[in-house]
Amino acid sequence: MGEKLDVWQGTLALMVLRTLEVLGPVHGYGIARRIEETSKQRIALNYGTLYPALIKLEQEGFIKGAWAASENNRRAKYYTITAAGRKQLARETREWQQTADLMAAFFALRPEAT
Amino acid sequence: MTVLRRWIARITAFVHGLAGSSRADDETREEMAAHLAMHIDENLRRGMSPDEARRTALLSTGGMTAAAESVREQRGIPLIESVMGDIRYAARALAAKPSYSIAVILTLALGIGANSAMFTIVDAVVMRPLPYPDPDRIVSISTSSKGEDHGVVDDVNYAAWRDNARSVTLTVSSGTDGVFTTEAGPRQLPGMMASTTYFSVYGVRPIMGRTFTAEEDRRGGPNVVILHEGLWRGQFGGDKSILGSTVTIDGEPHTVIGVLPAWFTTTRHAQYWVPYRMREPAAPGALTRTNPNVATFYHFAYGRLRDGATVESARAELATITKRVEVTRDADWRGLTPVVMTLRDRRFGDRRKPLLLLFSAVGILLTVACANLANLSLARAAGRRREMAVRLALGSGRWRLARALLCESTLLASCGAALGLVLAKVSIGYIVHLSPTSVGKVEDIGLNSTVWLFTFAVALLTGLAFGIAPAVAAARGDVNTLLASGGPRSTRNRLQHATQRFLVVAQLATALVLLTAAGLVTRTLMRVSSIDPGFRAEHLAAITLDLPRSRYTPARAMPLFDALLARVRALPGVTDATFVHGTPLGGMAFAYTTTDSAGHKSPRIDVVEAGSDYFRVIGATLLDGRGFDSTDRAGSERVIVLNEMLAHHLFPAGKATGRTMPFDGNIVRVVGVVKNVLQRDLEMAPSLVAYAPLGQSAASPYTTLMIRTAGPPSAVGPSITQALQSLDPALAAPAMKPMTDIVAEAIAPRQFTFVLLGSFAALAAVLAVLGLYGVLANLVADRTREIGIRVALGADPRRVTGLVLGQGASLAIVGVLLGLGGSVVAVRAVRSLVYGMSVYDPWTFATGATVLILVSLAASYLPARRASRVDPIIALRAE
Repeated sequence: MGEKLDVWQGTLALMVLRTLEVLGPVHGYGIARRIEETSKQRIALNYGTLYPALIKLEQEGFIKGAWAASENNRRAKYYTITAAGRKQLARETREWQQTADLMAAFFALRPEAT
Repeated sequence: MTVLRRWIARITAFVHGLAGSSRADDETREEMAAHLAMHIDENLRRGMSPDEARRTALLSTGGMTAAAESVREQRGIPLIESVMGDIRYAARALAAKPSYSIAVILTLALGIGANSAMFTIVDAVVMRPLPYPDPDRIVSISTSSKGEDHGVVDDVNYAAWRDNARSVTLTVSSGTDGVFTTEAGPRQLPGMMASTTYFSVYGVRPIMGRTFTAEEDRRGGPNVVILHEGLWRGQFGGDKSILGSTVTIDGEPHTVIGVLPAWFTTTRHAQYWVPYRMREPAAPGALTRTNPNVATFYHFAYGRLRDGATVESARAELATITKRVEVTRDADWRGLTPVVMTLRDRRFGDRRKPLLLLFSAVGILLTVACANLANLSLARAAGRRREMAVRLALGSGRWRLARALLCESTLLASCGAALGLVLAKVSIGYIVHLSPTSVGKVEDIGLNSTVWLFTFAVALLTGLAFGIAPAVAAARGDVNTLLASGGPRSTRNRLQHATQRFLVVAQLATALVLLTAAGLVTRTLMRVSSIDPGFRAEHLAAITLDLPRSRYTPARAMPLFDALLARVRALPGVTDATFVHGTPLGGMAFAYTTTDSAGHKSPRIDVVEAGSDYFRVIGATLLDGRGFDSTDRAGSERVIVLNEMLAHHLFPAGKATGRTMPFDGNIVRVVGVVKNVLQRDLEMAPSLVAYAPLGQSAASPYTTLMIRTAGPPSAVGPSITQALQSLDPALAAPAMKPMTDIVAEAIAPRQFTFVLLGSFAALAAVLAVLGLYGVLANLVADRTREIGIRVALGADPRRVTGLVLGQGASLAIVGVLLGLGGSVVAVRAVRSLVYGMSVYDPWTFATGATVLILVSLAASYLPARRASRVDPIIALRAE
């Protein structure tokens, strides 16, 4: 395990949306697990980080939650991505891509002879 | 700030809790608990010991309580939170500019305070329903002729209505005062005479016992009384066995048959009710009258509309009945029309108009205040344009920006309202005190919940009213030009200057309208105060003697009165005394008209029955002949004294004194002419008055003792009571009223409108002129650079002064012209308050306009002088 990264609120929302788009209905624990795995354990999500983000996404209408029984018969709240969430995800993805491309271009610069 | 944030979070959570979303909180906790459990499950699957599984899971998930709190914070109503932010920001911004904030809060406190005070009074007098069940179905009924409402109804019409009307249940009632014999001595109490239907008309049932039967309400019926709960508890200790027992009123035993509940109050605070016992009218047509007071009785009639009836339908029905009765009566009684109005209109109708007028005046005052504040805050907003631009550039939404400004103005308005309520509370007492006759009698006037609500609404509205212009300006500004424009004061957009000028002109115009109205009321008051009533009111007092009729026949009353007069005249401090029937400004003994053989009715003559030396006692001026003395008694030649007006009317050609004339069934000799004494009202033209000697009239147990005193009349009050009770210990202390009080009461309503309207107008004028000053000062500050260049290029400082003064003068003149136009329209509203002159009184209009222009010029002078002293070097460097 390398160093833990601080999670940026904006990026966490993006990670949650993406996770839900890929996995379908998942509960909070599942989301946390999946994000930690995807980040190769560089991100650790505690309640205080994850749940406010989930609430915010729910308030914004990007995800919606419903209570159901889990695989080993625990009651848990399962989240699904909404249509608005998908749109938002697409938009944010595009923006990230652009920023990343832009930054990549800068990183690709080489020292020029003067 | 974190403390505050947590605090806000708590409030939000609390609000949530109120809305039933502690459920949401539980849900979050449950969700987290499931999360933890799944984590532990997985750790166990990986082969950890239960303890270790739990510990690792807890470590990675973090504390649940803190997390729940941040979830709650996240969930909190975002609007509330950002509004709280706005308020915090507003409070900081306002605290940074205390002079601005204080100016605004004080202006608003005055405006809102005046409005709350007036609203309280209007609410109590005009809006609050009367304290009876279904009060709007209780009506007051009278007759009118030639458009003049008599306020009373004659017995023939009343009996006809009572017996035939289907749309309304009628009743008659009248105030009375009675002396109760108690263990502590005689006690005079206010009461009512009421007919049997009185109680159902007012919708009151006795808490004990019953109301009057028809038998009891008949002349000669058994003496019964109904007590008010207050009297029953206070005087009789709430004794339940009171029913059937006997109380002594005016020396007569009365059987107590009922007790009315405490909530039932009348305007005169009646403590007991006795049957009215109306004299049934003689058959129509059989009535003859030389003196109408003898032949006809008049009644105060009330009624309750029956189901389905309206005021109009009742009026129509009564009119039909009156028409039917009319044909059987003599010509004098033709042309009467019934008047039906709600009891509330009867009680408050005449007070409503001046009050509503004053209420609109404070409304206008508040508008002027708002305009002033709008100007102030526009100026302030201009100074903050850079700040706004920076906030916009940093990504603040325009709506958010506008909202922040509105929030500031609303916060100010709320502070103003709070202070205003304090002012209102203080001033209501003063206003009520100022108006003893027209408002003072209203019960429990004070700041109630309606007033709070009203003040709150006004505060919100004013906040919006003066905050909206700067808010719109802020939301519209263009970031780039704003940021590029450099210093806060360099350039201003033209639109804003135009807005400021417009507001100032509007303020001046409205202030002038108020000034004109106040001027008219002032001139009227001056006119009325200087009216000569024809008598000297100082050191003169009227003492009403109303002996209980059951024990005092006129024949028995006369010796008591004579003995009393002798004793009172001998009292130290009393310089002169006599009796009269019909005090100055208090009415007359009776009204007298004659009809000649051709059927022409003479004008009405007010008859005053006066004792010996009456004219000397009241200080009236005898123009010719003599007044009455002790020789004018029954058996001697019948004599009469005329007032100047009547003398001219009856004997236009020559001297009246010494002539004879027919009067009240006799031939009488005119022995004197007296200068007009006002009998009815200060503001009515003198009426035709004849004075008959009391010694020659039919005696009555009711009269008024007039005394002239050396010092203040109230000082001799106790010794007069003593003199009366030494003659008959069962009599209660008589009511004494100094004539100066009676004169003061006659002008009190005018004084009331004068003081209030005058102060509102003065405040509005001050605010308007301050507004003008503010705008000009702003203008000079904005143009410092320009003025500096002008001076540097050799402009004469006097020209600079003239430039600013000219600006001020032109604004003032436009405002005054508009205001004069507005006044012409608006003064119609005060027509009823103006007496003895035209509402378009040019003198008043001119004075108001001149004063406003002069004050405006004075206000313009300060900024003008500042402009002329601009030092070009400093002005140019300042940029």
